[in-house]
Amino acid sequence: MVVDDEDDIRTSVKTILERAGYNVTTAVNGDDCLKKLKAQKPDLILLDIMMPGTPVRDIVPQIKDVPISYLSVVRVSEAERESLLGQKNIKDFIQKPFDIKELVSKVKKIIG
Amino acid sequence: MDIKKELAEQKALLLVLPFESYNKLVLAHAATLAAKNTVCYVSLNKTFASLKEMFEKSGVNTKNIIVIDGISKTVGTASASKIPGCYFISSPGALAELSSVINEFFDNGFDYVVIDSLTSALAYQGKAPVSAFVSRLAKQAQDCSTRVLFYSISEKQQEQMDDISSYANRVVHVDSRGEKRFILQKASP
Repeated sequence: MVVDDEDDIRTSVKTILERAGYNVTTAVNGDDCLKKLKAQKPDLILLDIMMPGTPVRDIVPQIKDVPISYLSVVRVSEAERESLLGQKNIKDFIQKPFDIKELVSKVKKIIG
Repeated sequence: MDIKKELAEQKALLLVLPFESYNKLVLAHAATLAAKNTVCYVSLNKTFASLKEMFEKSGVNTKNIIVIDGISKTVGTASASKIPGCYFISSPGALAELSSVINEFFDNGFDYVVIDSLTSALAYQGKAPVSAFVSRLAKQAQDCSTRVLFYSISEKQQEQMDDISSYANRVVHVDSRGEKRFILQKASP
């Protein structure tokens, strides 16, 4: 599931991952993501950080048993990245702008 | 482009930068502005910890900079409201809270207030509150010695930015080398 408030990002990531053979759903923000998780359980959530609505710090704890990778333009320090990746279901932090091959490779690494 | 010269001519300047070279350019400007002057740097897309690393790598004189970090609390990497060199606000969209903290720097006679960036604020807030924020800071700058530098990313939210930009004294579109491409709008200071 690609969670991003920017339509062009949602569309492009969805297209890239579908071409790589994945079934992709989308959500427009964290609240929409939580709503959709009641009806589906994706293998991975690609989660933007800068979105309107409930902040990601409050969204992430509500997501149970689904791996999450941040996909964001937000810059964090190496120490902060390590700290975020130490949280239970946070698996990666993909920096925008991302390389298409790198994105697919990172998704593959998490979910196969 | 000489950023100090631009800000000497305009009290509220908006620079529209290309995404590909955005961070490189804002860090170069920060290094120039903070070399001999005091800067309040508002970061809505880089955590204070990452910004500190970037400043150090870019040779920015951090002794002259105080940061207002609007993103760390949203990410969940900060819990305090203030540490040496940095104020944390709750969200990049908390513009009233942000304005209140910025007021301290106007009151204390800081030379520059840098807003990085309006594009990030627009991810959380609509055009009207962001316009009001820009208008308020631009008006405050008219009445004191502090200059305000806003940034936005050229490829993002162009329609909203067209309206918001009218509240700055001057809007300069910049190329990836940091040179002026064109001045979109110019008003009397």
